[in-house]
Amino acid sequence: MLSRTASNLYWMARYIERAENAARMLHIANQKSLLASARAMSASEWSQPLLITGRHEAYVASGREIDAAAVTAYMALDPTNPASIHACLQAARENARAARSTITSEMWEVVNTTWLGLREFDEKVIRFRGAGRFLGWVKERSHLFRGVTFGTMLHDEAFRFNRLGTFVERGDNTVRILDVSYNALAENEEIPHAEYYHWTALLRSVSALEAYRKVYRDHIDPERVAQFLLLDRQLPRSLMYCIHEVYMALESVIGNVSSPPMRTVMGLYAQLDNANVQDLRARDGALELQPLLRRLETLALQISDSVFAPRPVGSPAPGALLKGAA
Amino acid sequence: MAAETKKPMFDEMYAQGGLPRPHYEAYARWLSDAGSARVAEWQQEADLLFRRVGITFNVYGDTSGTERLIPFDLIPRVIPSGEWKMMERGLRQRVQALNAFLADIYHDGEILKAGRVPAQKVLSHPQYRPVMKGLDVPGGVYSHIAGIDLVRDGEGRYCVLEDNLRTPSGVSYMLEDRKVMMQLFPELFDSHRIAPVDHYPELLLNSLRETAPPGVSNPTVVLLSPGAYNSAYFEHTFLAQQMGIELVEGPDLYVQDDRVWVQTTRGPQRVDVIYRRIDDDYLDPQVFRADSVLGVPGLMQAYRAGRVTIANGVGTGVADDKSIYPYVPEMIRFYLGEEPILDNVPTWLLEKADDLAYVLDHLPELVVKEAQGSGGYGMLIGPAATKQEIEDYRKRILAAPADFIAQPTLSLSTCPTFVESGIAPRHIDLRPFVLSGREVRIVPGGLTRVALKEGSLVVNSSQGGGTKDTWVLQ
Repeated sequence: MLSRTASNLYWMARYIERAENAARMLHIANQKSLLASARAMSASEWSQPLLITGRHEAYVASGREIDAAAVTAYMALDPTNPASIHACLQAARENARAARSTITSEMWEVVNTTWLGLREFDEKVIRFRGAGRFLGWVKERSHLFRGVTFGTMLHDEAFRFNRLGTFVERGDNTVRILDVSYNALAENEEIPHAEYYHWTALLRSVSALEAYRKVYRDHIDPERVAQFLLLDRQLPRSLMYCIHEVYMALESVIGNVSSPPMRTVMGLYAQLDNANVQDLRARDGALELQPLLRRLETLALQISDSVFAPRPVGSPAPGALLKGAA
Repeated sequence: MAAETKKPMFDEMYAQGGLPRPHYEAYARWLSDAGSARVAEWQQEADLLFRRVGITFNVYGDTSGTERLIPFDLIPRVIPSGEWKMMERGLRQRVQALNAFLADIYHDGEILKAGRVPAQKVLSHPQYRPVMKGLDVPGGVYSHIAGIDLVRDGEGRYCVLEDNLRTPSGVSYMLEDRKVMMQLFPELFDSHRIAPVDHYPELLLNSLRETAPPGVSNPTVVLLSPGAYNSAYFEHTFLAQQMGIELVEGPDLYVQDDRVWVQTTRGPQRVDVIYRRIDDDYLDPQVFRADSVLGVPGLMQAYRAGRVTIANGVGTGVADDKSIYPYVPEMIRFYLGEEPILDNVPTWLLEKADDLAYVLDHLPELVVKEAQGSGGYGMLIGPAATKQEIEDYRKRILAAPADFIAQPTLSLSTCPTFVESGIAPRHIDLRPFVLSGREVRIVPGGLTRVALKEGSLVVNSSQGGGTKDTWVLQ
């Protein structure tokens, strides 16, 4: 397969996953604001989606209010925000269009009709009919995309690049959510049962609440939440699960275990395999996830460099290229 | 306009007197039972389907992520079996002669020596590519895919308006129009015996594989596109997907040791046949336009070494030019020893003094075109032009008469079409696609294009034309 096409497939999947994750974050913030009194629902709660996606600074600089309506509009529909659902779905479609000869017609139709369907939502529609309907739609479209991919595409190299994108994005997202919200509890003390709502919301944002109850059959304990989201082998949005998927996809498209992304992903896997949550704590007891996030970033860069990098000008010999790609 | 309405007009569905022609009877009955309110609903449904599948063309400079739809009209153009058989023979004959002509002028030039086509005109033509001289292409095929534009005159006689031998487009609309029609009106396909067209990509792939360089047993075929911003990008992706071949862009390919390679995730892979959808000028910056970033440096060297097939071949433009077109009947006689089955439209070459004088005297009745133009741009339609437009065009002609040709204003046949005011006749043409590999293959019918503006004769999609499904009855 063409390196360029592989890159399009990978990014198509990443952007769909990213749109879904943005919808999940907003959904949780909205749910919380329904539970809490409006006053108690602090600005810090609404800054979380901005912090997780790295848009907080830009947003504050633009002078906008940090409240439900403004943040929702910015994260959902603002085309100038590169992390918005709008921007992600547009980028996903552009990549799908470029890879259209490789993906199935059904996949293209899902991505294309998702982009066309986005036009039926604007700020007003979201305000009057509730953000939930829109965010639920985004999640459903993402589910549909994965389903149609799984059910119609040859499970070949192209499929694995697609999976690679999904799980690189998802793993990164789970760690970011945990990083921003894990230590944010203290600020919401005004709300009764704040702790309970905080942890259930966090679990729900990665569809892990019901799974948590099944696995632990016990009350919700912060340490276990972290353990579950980072290290569980069966939870499809846990970091461990995502790294395992990334490893499998990379192994089948690259094969060579000494290539930089393979080395990084195997290192990550070994680290998580042997870890427990205490290992991830800093001295003050807070969860220390920055080193993990940096390794995930390195992994993404290595994938781009060694798998998708365009052939440098000057035509190296085919043998050299084989080595470079292998 | 006055000149036009006086001419007899041939309608595909209705004979004079308003009765449907025999091959349209069943459809006309069905249509009148349905009523135009239903037709309007179907039209909306069809538009939704097209949007969903993304059958669009790009407009240069539009970045909104919403490409334009080519208007689709759901009233089909129906061709009776006997008419198609005649057309098919005529198309086969014409394309064989054109390929023979190209092989000849890039080798011994017999037809030029015999004086049947003026040598000077061919050899000094900007589309004549000296780099092709003496090169043997596999199977002697230069134009693997030819789009031959047919129109019908006032008496319903089919004639060839134009040959397209470079990178003819539109076949994806032929295929998608059929798909949408079958989805919307399965009952019509039950009640009519309509020749299928869905196997076109299969025939195309066969033709491309058959013309691989000699000695290659399992050729790798790729489709070379200028990229996502090209107006026909949808068609490129569609055809690549249907044939199961890679869609590549210039930077994905490179040449080493006179062979063409494509950069894949598993290293380089050799390429044997390139179905290119970019013009000659952009193919290889080392030979043609040096500023081209769409092409592949060294490609022509690999081509000349016989290591790769380029389809369509390089230098075909000299044979489909409007100033060479009048000589195609001569080519058929010269190479095949046959009389042309499909006639040309009478054409005046303005480089000839007599023709020029006649045309200048009759501008308000004629259509004048640039010999090298395409896409419906830069032409004068006398009967529809204002006095000022005619005078402006006269000046352009006088400045360089050899750049122009003129033809009588054809009335073009009409076909009932769903427009804002209801169902009304609109002018149509037909572009069958003729594939040449080891043999010549044609799927029945082709792309019917329709001029949606009342009275308009310009069917090009870039000028607001639409398309219709084309039924060849069996």
